[in-house]
Amino acid sequence: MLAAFFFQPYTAPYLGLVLNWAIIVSSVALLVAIASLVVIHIRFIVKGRKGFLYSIVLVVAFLVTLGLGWYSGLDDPAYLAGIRAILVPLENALMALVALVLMSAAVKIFRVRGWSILTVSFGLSALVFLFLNLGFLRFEGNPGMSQVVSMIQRLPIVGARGLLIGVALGALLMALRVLFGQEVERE
Amino acid sequence: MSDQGDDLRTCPNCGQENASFTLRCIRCGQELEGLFELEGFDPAATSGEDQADETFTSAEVLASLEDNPLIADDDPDEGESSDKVEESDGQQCETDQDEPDWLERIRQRAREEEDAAGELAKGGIAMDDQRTKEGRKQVDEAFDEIMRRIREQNEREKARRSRRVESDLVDENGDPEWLRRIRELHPKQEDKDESIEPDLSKTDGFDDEWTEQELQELLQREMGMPEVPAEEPEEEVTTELSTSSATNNELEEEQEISEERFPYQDDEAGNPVIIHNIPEDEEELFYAEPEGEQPSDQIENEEPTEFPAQAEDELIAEEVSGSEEIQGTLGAEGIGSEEEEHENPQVAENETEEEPEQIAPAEKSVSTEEVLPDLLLLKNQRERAKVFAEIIGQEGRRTIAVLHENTPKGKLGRLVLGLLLVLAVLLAILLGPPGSAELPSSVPAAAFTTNLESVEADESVLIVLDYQAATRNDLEPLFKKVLDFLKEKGIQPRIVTANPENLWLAGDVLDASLLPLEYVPGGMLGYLALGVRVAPSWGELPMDQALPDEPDLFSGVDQVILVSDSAEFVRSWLEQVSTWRPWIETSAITTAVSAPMLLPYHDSGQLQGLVAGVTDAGAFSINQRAFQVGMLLMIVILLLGMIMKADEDAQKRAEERKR
Amino acid sequence: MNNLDLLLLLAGLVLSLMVFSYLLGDTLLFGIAMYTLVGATAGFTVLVLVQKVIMPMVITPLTTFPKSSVWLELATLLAALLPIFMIFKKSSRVAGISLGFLGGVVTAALIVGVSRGTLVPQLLSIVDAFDPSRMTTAGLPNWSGIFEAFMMLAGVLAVLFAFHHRKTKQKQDSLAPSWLDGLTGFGQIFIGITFGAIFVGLFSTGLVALIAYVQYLVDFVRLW
Repeated sequence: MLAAFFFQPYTAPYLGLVLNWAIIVSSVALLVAIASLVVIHIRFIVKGRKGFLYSIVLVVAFLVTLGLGWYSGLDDPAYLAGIRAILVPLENALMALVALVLMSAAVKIFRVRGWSILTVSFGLSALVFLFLNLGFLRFEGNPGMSQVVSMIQRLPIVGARGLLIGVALGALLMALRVLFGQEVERE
Repeated sequence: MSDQGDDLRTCPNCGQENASFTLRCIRCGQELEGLFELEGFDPAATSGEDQADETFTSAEVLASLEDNPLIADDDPDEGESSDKVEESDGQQCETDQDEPDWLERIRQRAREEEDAAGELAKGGIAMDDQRTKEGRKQVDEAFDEIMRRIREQNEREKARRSRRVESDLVDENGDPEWLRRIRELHPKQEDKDESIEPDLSKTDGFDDEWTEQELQELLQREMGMPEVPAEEPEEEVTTELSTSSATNNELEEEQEISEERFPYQDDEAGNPVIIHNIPEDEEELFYAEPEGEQPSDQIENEEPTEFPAQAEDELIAEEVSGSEEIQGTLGAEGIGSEEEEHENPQVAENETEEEPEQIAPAEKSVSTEEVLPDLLLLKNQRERAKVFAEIIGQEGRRTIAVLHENTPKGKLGRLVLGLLLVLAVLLAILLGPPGSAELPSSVPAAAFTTNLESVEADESVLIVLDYQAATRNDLEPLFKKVLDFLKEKGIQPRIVTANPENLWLAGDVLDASLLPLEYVPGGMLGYLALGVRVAPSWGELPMDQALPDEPDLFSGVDQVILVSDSAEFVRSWLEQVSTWRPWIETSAITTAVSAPMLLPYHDSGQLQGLVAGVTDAGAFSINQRAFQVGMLLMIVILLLGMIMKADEDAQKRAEERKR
Repeated sequence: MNNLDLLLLLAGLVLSLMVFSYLLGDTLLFGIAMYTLVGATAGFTVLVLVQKVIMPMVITPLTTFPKSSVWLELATLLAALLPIFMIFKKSSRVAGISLGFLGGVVTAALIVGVSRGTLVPQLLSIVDAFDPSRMTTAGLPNWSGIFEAFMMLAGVLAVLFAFHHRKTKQKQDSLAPSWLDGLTGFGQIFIGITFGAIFVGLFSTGLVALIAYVQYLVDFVRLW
């Protein structure tokens, strides 16, 4: 694969084919994983394991979605609208819950983590960006202040770039390790 | 019922006294359970609960009878009591009417068949012989009382068990219920294990078999005897359990200790005698489990994470149920004391301090003949012991990380703050205008707009969707705006997704614009395959069938607009696809949370533009005032958290100064 | 609005309200809502995978042999069949072949993509900031550009060092020189700023969802 990546475009058709096979393998693997999940929950129901009510809910939701979709067709607008009507409020509520939970996290963070360079810079940064998001500050007539605000908004780039480079280096090392079998040996 | 009577049970065959939970006589091997099987009593005829109770209580019968000083073997007042039997003969007829039928049948059979059922009746006859007429009445009254108490205790225990299992699956330390039960059963054993670990390490590591020391300690704990430190070495105990010299030394020491603790353990021949509490057959312990409410079920439900093997489950179940059964056979007070130990360790400690005094007479009353060695461990017992040792070895190791503690106070605080935010948002929506202030766009958002405006009518635009329903309110208004803008310019974009969720989610937006949505198989791998795609000379690639209209997704595309709530997706796109098609300009519509991690890509020129949510583009499809109220509330809460922490620190410092 | 739409609307409303029971703890209602979400998503995913991936990419080509090589079609079929062996414990090694193949492909794509898409462009971006054309304006020093370039370099190095230093300190538990701690602290400032921005972004996204949800509830009540 690496060779195919480097010797482009001569290897492009073969690379495409290999990637197509990889797509098929990953899709079937995902199907197997879902099948395994459902089978496990069916087993929980049969055994009457604690919390099997959840398993019933999961299996019923799975079967209803699958059965209706199979019957009506994947592109049926009514079927898609039905799923939308159920899942959109559900996921929306989950995201809204994040906001509510973050409220209590904001109170706890300093009490739990204490004072440190990281927490103080985190807190001040959060306050500044919250304030900027309010939209109360207007510096259209003041280019100096506008530039300051612009610089503040660019400040996260430094940390993010450092994080991205760090993550990329880590991923690269891990990939090379896996490629040379060192990771498997270590495990 | 006193503690004395709980400890020993007389064998009907040889007269040997055995521990009350022993199922076979340690001298002659006679099954002691047979003694409690009542002739003419059909347990199946009764209800499940009654059956369980009867079976359970029948195991208590002998213990309760033994418990009574009137029938104790070693009662010094035996002669007097036999006199009383004759005196109270007349009263017996009256009390017989109140007795249960099955008990009466036992007595009748015992009277009629002196040696009939053999061992079965022998014990009863032996006991009956000791009874006086007056004593019978007292015994029967005591028996009824005991039966009642056992039932009450049993029901209490059942209720408590079910409560405990429901509420305390994992304690505040993240330790599962099964492990805590084991700890409760063997609290000192673990300490002991730790202390002897260096010695064991000299051999093959951890000793995985039951040592005599462990057995002795276990028995002592069961009997509530005090631990006495070893003083001088005596005889060496030879067992098949010793696996190393180090262990042997410990065994010798332990033997010395145990011999001091149990002066009656040497029989007449001077052979060392060991008592252990491991039943010969674990399965027999289940006979008295009431109503099928075995702890094994509970433990199975609790699903120990690190020990999935069935054998381990069985072991745990048997250990727990076995110990509970032992407690059950010890009698009502035994159960009661066990419960109290579970519930209140303080009380338990006090009790253990008091117990030696109570038990002392019992120790004296036991002769050396009465306890014989039972040293052999069955193979399955040894295996179970091995697994058990491993479980104890897991002590202190957390199997499931506890991320945070959910205290009731914390829950209440979260609830209050959550409700506060909901209320604030609700009031902002219901009261007053929604707000229409135009917020200044950020530099990346301005670049996005500029880039979009630069698209010519003859250019091809590809829009890639990858977002969840949770973030649709942050993305879809912007997506709609882009579609409207392109429509004004007469550009019909091609819209694709590799996320199944978008097939039903994007309907709201796309149905209005009558644009089709295509599915690309394989996620990012699919996009990569299309990015590197060159039509092969041998025919078609499998993916060509999945995109029948135009397999070459990037053919003639000038602009790609990513609509994604995931910084990871955008990053992967820039890494996997853009690198193969560098001439295509890429910009992104994303959420506010993804923006900080994508800003470096805009800074490096890989992303031509970036809009981070509805607030960044000033495209408020939601109530702007409510948004501002929420932001203000968060500022207040964050400041409050800082102030609270500062106040807490100040108080601590003041206290330190006072000290 | 017909009855079915109304029923679906109510179902969505009830399930979403169940989600908020999380504020009272990890309750039964929250669990039901979550398992419904997982079940429905899994069901739909299976449908999509079968109808949009397996059918067109594996089954359909088998019926159109003349279009491509028979051997290629069989290889594709084999690729589809191998992961199925994961279901059976005894033959899971066979499935390991396909997973190993997948792992190799992903790893190779990762190495190429990360190096070409993130490492090189981001490092070049830091270096580009020191381009003389960007550090001068009309022959005069562009102080803000210079400051920004140095700040970027120092900041990125400090952030990288902060992570490395934290790891080694955890491992060795050694006393580091004070200047190293200072550099770590400098890196932590930038990490804290970035995390603060992410925190505000997350809250902003959640708040938008909350406002939309409350609006949805208000609209629902007004509907009646």
